[in-house]
Amino acid sequence: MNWRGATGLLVALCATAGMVGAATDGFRVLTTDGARARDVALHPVIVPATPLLDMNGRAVPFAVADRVTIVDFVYTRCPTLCGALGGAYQRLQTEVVHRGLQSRVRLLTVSFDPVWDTPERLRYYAVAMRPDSSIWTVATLPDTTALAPMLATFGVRVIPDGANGFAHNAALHVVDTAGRLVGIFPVDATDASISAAIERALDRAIVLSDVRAPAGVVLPSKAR
Amino acid sequence: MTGRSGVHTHSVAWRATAWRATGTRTAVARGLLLCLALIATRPWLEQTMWLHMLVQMPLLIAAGSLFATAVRPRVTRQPTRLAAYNAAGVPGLLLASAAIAVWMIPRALDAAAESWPVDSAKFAMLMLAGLMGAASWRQAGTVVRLFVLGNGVWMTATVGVLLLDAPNRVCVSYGTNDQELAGYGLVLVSLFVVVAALVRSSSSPGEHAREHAREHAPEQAGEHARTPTAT
Repeated sequence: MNWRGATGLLVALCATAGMVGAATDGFRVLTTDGARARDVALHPVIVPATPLLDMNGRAVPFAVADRVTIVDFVYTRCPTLCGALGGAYQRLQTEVVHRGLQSRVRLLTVSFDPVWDTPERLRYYAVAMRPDSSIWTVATLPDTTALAPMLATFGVRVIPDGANGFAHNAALHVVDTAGRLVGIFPVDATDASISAAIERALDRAIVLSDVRAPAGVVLPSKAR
Repeated sequence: MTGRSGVHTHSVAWRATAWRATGTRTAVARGLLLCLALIATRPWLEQTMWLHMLVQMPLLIAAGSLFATAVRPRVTRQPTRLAAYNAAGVPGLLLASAAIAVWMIPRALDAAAESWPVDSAKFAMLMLAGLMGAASWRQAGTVVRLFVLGNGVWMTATVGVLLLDAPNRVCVSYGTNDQELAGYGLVLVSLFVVVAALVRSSSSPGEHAREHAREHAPEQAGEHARTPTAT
């Protein structure tokens, strides 16, 4: 092969690496979810002001100053992924109690289907999930106006599935005490992904709340 | 300019050049039409994953390959320039497969379906891939062709199986059923390509020789036609 042939091949190889590298954020991510999680971990985003109502119709905040919030998004009619998310949240609630993190971690489930999921309907969800109201808040939006900016910030895509339901991506989102989204831990229907997401979200929440934790608090050894 | 009369007198060469000129014009027109049709149907085709991956993207590559006939005369007339950098068509085929592979990445597919600037890049890259792939294919020998074909089929089938195996949606823009259809479609397409290649190479051994003769005939005739004016 002469030098022209070698140059051509070299240019093609570099261009190939460049194209694949650019499409995968430097060989790191293959999916939109993965890219969003990486973005947020590197550059936290402020959660836009979103009015929320709990199942009693009372206004609840997205973020609170004394606890780190772990947020997920569901619609309560969901027959598939939300069940896995609900299970994950029940496990999270158990973990929070078990590790004594009630004063540092708060759980928040938000419905992205406010038209169906009124506060009254959230109560049916609560009957099934049995959230401890001091740890886990189930909430919905009063209307759809604040829906799109909220979903865009958290990287949640909701598309009608043609069977009167929605296809959506699922993750545990960590919001710090300053109201910034700082971590996204994607969940799929597998147990392994749920366990991994729970561990990582809790670890992140503990580290973040540590900054505000009063002196003398002994952290559970497993969590550190 | 005086050479024109030489071409006119040489009836075989004239017919060959004319055939190529009209053939090129028709091919380019078809490529442009196909491209315009794909732009017009963009919202509809990109709404469904399998239509996006298995109809729109292959048609874009096909539209690009139609333009390859337009660059052919220039490439064959100056074999020392462009063709020398594209030794045995390998760099061109590598670039073309990379450009196609990039748009099979779920994140890229999502971005294309969601934003038109990204989608314009996809249109341009896939058409260029078709153009470059087709032009390089003619330069490639049997070994290179077999390698590219095998690799492409393997890549397509692997993406299909990965889509079928994924526990969740890999694209946020498309549903699970849609993903399954795209997965089966990709596997079927790779099977079809293998079968088509086998049938083509085994059923008509004379086909290649004829095609080879047809590709080289105008070039030689053109060469022949020019000589009288030079002397």
